[in-house]
Amino acid sequence: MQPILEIEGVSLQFGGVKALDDVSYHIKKGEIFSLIGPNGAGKTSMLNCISGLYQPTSGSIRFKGQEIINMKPYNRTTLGIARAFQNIALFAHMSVLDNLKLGRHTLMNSSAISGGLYVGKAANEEKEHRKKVEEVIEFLELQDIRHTPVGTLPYGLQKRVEVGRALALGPELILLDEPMAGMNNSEKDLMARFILDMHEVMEITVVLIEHDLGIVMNLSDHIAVLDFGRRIGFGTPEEIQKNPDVIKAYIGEESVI
Amino acid sequence: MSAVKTLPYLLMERASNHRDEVALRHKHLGIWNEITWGDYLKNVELLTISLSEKYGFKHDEKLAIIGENRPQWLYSYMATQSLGGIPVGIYQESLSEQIVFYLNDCQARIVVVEDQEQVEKLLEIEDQIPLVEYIIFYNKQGMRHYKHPKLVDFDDVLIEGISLIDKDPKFFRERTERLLGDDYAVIAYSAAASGDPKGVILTHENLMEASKSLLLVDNMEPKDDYFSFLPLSWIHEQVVSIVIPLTAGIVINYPEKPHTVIGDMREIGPHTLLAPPRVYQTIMSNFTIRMEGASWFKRKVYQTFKKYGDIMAHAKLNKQEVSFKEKVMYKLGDLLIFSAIRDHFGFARIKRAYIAGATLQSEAFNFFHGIGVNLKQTYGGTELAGIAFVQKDDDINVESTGVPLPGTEVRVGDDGSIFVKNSAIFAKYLHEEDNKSMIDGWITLGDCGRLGIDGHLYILDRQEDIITEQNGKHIYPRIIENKLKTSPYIQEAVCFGKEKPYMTAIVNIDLSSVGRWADKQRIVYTEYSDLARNPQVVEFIEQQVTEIMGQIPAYARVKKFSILHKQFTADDGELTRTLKVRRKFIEEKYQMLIAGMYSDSSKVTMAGSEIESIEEISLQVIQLNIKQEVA
Repeated sequence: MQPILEIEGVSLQFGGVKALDDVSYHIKKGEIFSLIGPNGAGKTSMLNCISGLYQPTSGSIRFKGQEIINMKPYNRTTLGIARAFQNIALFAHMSVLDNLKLGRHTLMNSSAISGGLYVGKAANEEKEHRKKVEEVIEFLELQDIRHTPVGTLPYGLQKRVEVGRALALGPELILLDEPMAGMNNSEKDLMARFILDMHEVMEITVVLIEHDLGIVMNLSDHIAVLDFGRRIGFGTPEEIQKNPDVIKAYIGEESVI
Repeated sequence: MSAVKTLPYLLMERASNHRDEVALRHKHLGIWNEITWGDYLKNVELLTISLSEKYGFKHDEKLAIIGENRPQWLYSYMATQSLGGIPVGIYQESLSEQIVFYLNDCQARIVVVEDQEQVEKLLEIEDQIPLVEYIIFYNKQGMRHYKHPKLVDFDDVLIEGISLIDKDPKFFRERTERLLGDDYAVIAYSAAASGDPKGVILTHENLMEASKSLLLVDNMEPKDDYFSFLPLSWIHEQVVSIVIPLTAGIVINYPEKPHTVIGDMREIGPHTLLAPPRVYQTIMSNFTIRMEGASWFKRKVYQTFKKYGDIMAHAKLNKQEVSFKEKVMYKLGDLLIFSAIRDHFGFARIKRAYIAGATLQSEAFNFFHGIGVNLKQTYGGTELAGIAFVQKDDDINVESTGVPLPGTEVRVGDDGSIFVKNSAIFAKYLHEEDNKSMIDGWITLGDCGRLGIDGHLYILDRQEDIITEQNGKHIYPRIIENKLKTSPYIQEAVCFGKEKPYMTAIVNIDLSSVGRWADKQRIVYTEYSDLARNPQVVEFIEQQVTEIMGQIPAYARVKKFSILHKQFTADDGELTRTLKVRRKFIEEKYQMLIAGMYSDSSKVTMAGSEIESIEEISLQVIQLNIKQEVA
């Protein structure tokens, strides 16, 4: 089967700094794929290249066989790529519902006038969007805070809404940048369950950046390890745990114990 | 057409006269979906024929239902009854071993469940429930990958009914007309203070009588809204949200999820509500917390008018007159603030709010009457098909549990036991050996009390819990416990002292109010068990208890008590599912602690194994220092 995302020889340079250096890997459809590595390894830069915030200096990124490296970010979302940010990117004064609906704005077609008057096609479109958003609200168990302004929510819930905003797009591929950072253990468990359900129930391919290695090893089908912009490891969780280069990058040198 | 009335018959009647009127509302994906009486009947018809023809459901068979309050719950209930079967509601949060007990006890072959969570639970215990052949689930979310042969999608069962009904359109009517009023209509489990729950069998007539007699006291009008959020496995809830609508035409509203109850209730603004005391207490304590955080102006307005609210509540509950000025001020208060408070909690249109299961402490009772919510105490039980006693609108007081409903007789035995007789009284217990508790049509629910000259029933305590002290005086632990619970900082209290020299108590603190107190005192804590064992908190609670004990006679006073490191929960077996304390269980579980309170030690250490924890927990025993009254 053709991989859903093919990263081939991607390099990214900021002046003299090489953020990514000839990185290649493939992501299969329907898997949970994790990117790990020490701080500054280039994980978020990698996601930025996939979502289109950064333009790689060289290389190729193909989504479902289609080259997307020169495509604008908003066009990538319509193709089926959605992204949840590490630093929550929501409107604090808007309700959860409105934030999620806004997540779908690239999919809205009606004009400002017909939308404002809520007539004809625009009304039907609005209903359709609301339904999609409500499905996400149900999936992430946000029903009781549907009308609550995001800014008043605790951090863990804001993170969940951030993931919801990406899910509301109905993506085939979702990029999650540290969705569990700053969470306590029970919040992490809940998020891990949502990620598994995204994969099993919604059949979405998940690309995950996460520092909690226990969770990464439990959730992932495949893992790529980055260090100083280079891919130093790739494989299943078992393979990664045995990989001497990975151990070296994380602990400094091979553990003697 | 036969004249025998049964629940499915009433459904058929109502649906033909009010086909397009709304019967049920269920919030899903943020929208209140309306189901008319016509839809309701249609779904029941489809399910009935499908269960009979495709799943071989027989007369007298039992069908278990495990799930949140949903239309499908009702469809399954009615369809089972239409075929002469008996539905058994099982509390949706029951633990696996409890489910094993219920399913084997009632011998259900078909189980209707809500969702993946319940399916998982049942598949895990599959070997222990060999009688179960079909598990029908009605929420598909997450079910796509399940391929177990026993699993059936509820919608598929309905779809199978469509072609069957085309061939035999009269099936439902014919089956329903075969039923008799004294056919068994439901099995409800009555939580026992000790031992396994008992299956109680009620007939169609029982349920209809219970509904009729309540309606004679409280007139519910068609299209009145009722908000149904207590477990449907509870007979009280079944009578109000399944049986009463069939004749009174009230509309039943189901919340989206358990955690959305507060917001959903506000959207509906029901006319009638039924809830255990704990719910009203929570609403009041939430309000108090919100009020403390409100602006200076709002607090001032509230305090000004609260005085008149209290006066009105006091006058109403004691049947006194108020002065003209007080009346005017109350009206003004209602306009300015009480109506807003009512609206905030979903009481904007409330006609009556029933308290069921236990009694509510007086502070909360006064609070609700003060803001204009007609709160009414009830008394009843599974064996009586729910409510058998209720306070009438113009005859409410804090202490009583109401007057008997029309057709209900009550007498108090020499030892104080309450005996009740009415036409809603259950047919029999599922197991013969339980049947001995009914004598000549009279039943005792195990409570002791007295009948007032005002005709009200006053409950004192459970028969087996009453303590006789050395001088022959009776001590009613429940009354002392309720006294303790008047402190806003004490959530639950259980008193002991049978065959002991003095009374003792185990106390649960109220996490939110004590937490707030701790915040103000700058006490740092992490969680409940930490807060409950904080020395300053212990001292503070000691003051509270000492003060309360000063109000009761010396012989009944609690001399030592201990604050438990955890809250009592239904999952740990300390409470029933309707949040009543299971004294016997607690007495056994915490026997070390109780023994400690009858020794000289001031600390009791419980090993980890006794309290299902890894570490040892040591709790302080607090001895109260109250001056002995000179008699």
